[in-house]
Amino acid sequence: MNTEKLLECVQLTKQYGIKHAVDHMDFVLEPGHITGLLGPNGSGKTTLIKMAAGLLKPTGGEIRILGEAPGVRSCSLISYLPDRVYLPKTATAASLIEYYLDFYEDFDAARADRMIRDLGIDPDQQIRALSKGTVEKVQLILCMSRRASLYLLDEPIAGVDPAARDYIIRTIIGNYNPGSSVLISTHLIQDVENILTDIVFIRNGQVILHDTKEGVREHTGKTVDQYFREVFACWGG
Amino acid sequence: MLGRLIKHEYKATWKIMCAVYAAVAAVTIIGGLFYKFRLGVFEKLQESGVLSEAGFSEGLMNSLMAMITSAYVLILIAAAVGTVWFLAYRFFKSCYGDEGYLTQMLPAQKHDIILSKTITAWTWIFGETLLTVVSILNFVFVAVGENADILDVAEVVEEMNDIFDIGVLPIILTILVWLVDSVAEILKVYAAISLGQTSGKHKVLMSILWYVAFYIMIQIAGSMIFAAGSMFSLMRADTMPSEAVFRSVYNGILFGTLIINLVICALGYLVTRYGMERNLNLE
Repeated sequence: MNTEKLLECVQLTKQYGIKHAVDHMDFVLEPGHITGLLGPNGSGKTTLIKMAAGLLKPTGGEIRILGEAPGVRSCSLISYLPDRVYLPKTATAASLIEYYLDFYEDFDAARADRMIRDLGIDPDQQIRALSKGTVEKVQLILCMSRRASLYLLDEPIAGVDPAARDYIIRTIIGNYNPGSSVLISTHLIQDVENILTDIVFIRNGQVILHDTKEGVREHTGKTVDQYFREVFACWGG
Repeated sequence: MLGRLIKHEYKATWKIMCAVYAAVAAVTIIGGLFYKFRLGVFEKLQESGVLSEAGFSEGLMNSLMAMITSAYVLILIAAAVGTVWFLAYRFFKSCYGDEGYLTQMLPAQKHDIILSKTITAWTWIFGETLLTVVSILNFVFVAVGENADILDVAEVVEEMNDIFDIGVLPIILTILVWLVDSVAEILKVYAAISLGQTSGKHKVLMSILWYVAFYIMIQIAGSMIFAAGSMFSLMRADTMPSEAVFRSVYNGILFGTLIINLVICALGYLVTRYGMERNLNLE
């Protein structure tokens, strides 16, 4: 297995005033893993992902994507799904496929088109006319139709119904290739636990646990979801 | 990459901008027709007495024409202000709003993103300005109507030549100032937005405040530079003929404006790039 560091954080810090959203974090992500980034609200998950995507500048420390600071190259390596609707309201799924095709060499338009039709989404309907859940599916399809090295998925299943969750999870597994890695931030651990290979627990902007899923289960005798509830039970996040 | 960015920027803006252009064209045609009506048919109807029989007085017709003229002027102003506002909002939304997640994640240099938005905005503003000028000229020619002989263009140019002794240089400078001024205005707005977005809350309000601050600073700096330049020219007035002094001051103002606008362009670009590269703050 390729052990090159896809994502590396060294003493990574992001401070807002006196509050540390990410606090001297050390963290490495190698290819071939689907890692669950798990933690309560305000623990620093989204901040970490945004720094990896290059949308936030660290206050201290370093973050590197395949050895380089986030920049133009990392944008071509990373496929990022934010935790919000970011598509232009007047765009259509068809026009967005064209848009992605124009800018990302690794974008598989046929795959995106097939998934859009599989889900019964009208490719010519404007985003504003779609339900929130459908827009999230379109966003995920666009994100996962790239053959990226690193997928950053921030709460990919938070806003969709259980049936759609299954589809999204299947999409993640189906489209991810062993040379790449997926970092998924979520609260809905039970839904994604089966597809995860690695677990990261994050609290107060620090990594408190980084292990394989099997390792967590073996050491604790619990599922990841059960262990998460135990660790963060009294945290009140 | 720049070409693709420009293409998608046009795709995202053409509908609104074409609506603005259509509005300007429509008021130009309707306004022109109304003036034709007033100067032609109205006078004939008045002479024949039809209008007075129908209760139309000249006063009423004049009031109607004043309202139409006011509406025409207001629509032209709204189109110009609306164009700038729309393009500024488009920049804010696509770079620092939710759509910023799409724009800022593109594998493109920030330089290309800024340039694509500046070029697109500039062409739309240029087109809108050109359309407005054509509209006003059309309005003037129609308004002058049958008395067109008072607007002898050749005579006007000749008189202007006599007064200003216009050479090629001031004409080129005037065009350059006009072109660079709109680029400077766009980059000033982009810079204000790029600084405004760094504040956690009230990004729009902070962008407007930054713009006002830029405007005041530029006005003060510009006034000081022009005052110093004019003083220098006038100090030489004793040794130069009055026309030469006038030309010197006029050209000096154009040069000064051009240089100030080029400096604004450079600073506006650098501040925008700094905001995008070093101080991005997407919520």
